[in-house]
Amino acid sequence: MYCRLGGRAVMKERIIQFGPDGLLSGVLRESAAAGANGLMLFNAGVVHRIGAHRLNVKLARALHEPSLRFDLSGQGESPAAAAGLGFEDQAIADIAAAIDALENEANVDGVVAIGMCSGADHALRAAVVDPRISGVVLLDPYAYPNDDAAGADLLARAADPDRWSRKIKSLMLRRDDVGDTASGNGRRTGGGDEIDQGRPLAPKEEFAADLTALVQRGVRILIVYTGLVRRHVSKPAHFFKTFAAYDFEGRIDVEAMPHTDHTFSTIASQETLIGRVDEWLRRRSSAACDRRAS
Amino acid sequence: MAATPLHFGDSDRKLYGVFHHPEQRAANAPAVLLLNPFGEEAIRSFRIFKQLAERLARAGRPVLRFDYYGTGDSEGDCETVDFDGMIRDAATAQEELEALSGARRFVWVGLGLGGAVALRAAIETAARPTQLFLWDPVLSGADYLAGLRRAHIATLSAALDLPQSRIEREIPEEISEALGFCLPDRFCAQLKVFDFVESRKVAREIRLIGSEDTVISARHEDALKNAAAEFRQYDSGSTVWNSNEAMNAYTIPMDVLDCIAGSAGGRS
Repeated sequence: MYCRLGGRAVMKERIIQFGPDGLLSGVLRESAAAGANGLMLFNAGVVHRIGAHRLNVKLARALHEPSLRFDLSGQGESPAAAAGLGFEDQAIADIAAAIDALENEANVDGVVAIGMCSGADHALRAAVVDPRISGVVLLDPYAYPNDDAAGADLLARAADPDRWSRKIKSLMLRRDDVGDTASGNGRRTGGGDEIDQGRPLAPKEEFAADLTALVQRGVRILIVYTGLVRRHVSKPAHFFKTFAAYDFEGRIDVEAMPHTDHTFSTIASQETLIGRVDEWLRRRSSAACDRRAS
Repeated sequence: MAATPLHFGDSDRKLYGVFHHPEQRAANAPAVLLLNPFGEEAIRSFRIFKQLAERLARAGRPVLRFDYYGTGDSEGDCETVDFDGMIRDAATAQEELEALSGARRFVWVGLGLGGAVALRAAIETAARPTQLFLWDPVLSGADYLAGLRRAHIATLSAALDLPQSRIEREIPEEISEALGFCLPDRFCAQLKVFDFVESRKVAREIRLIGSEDTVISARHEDALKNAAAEFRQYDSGSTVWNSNEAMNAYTIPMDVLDCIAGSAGGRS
């Protein structure tokens, strides 16, 4: 565990090739502080390792911990693996190789995996099977229907004069849609059982079981939900109510950013996210340092 | 296929790049420099440029692709991005490619804003490509900024399920960000004054590649024709590369890659 002593560690970046055949490609951000936490960032969907809007680079550089951002096999700069594993199993094997690299090259003690969307799925599954992962930051992991969130969303829409204006225009023009909302990027927000372009939703019990396994092992968890799933979660209370049977309140940190889009397409939303993750990591570090000192 | 990732450039302006080693290099084969578009377009074109680099390397051409300062895996925050700096980065990358390849002839491929970088770097620096592929190039910085603003509004409207008119009210005419990337004042000011009407020669040959929805004004087309001894045009029939659909479906405009790989520096 990395106990901050004040000031910022000097960081520098180095390209590394790692994995069983040295085929995985990543950028290691090193710190002189031995025994620090390591951060691990990787692909979100089809985006290469820099992340949507370069968010992985921004996170790695803002969080002042040693980090490895890398491409999973077959994505970005990393060629496909010859191992013949399925996509999910290969991702877990790649993440294990990345932890090896972080331990060997950056002398870290414990790893926090940060994943967005499908990357969150990989981070969660890897954490379940790899005890070296001591924390996970899950950006828009699976979300499940919640009546309170759905009702809040419905009320917000009903109170929106722009929507009524559009509806009236639509009726007057006898058209279903007056076309004021852009279409064509293939994603509608907030509804349905799939949360991102065909990504299948895991059964709620399976997701809860994975989280439970991590909580029982003492893994710290930060979940951030965006407006993509605001009909399911627009306040942390919605998540805890959805999973009331699992007693996650006080054991999992949940943030809701219902006015932010799935990929944090504004600079302000990116800064808010980075600030929240930084603050969460600091709380996590200081709590561990306090335990160590007592 | 051998590809070497590397950092290069000045210690205070380190750039990330990947050098693709040629297979069975032909005598006098040119080396190829790939010039990225900017922002979201650079993310959408990542796989296209990687695949193009691999194809060119298989055809015996050494290739360097890289990220400008403040973009991709290069050093620098997004607030440090500037257009003049991109021109310097292109020249630095050209020097690196010369050192890595030992080549004496060079082909540049500029996509989107990378096309504008190629044109300016060919005019303003010592770097001299013999052949320029300009793929949906930005030829007017002001038009480019206006397009970014429209795209930003449309993206937020779709992503947040809000009317475009409401988003538009909240986005100033002088934008400081678009599609998740900073547009620093200095960068915008430099872009606004870019309008390609150059009369000097910038390369022996220019090939203009246009996607389905690309519109090049007659004025700019005339300028490009004057900028090279030989000017050719290729209209792509592929799905437009710059869309979420193309990216999420892993679509690569193979006809464009065929066009470039088949004619970069002449057949070896």
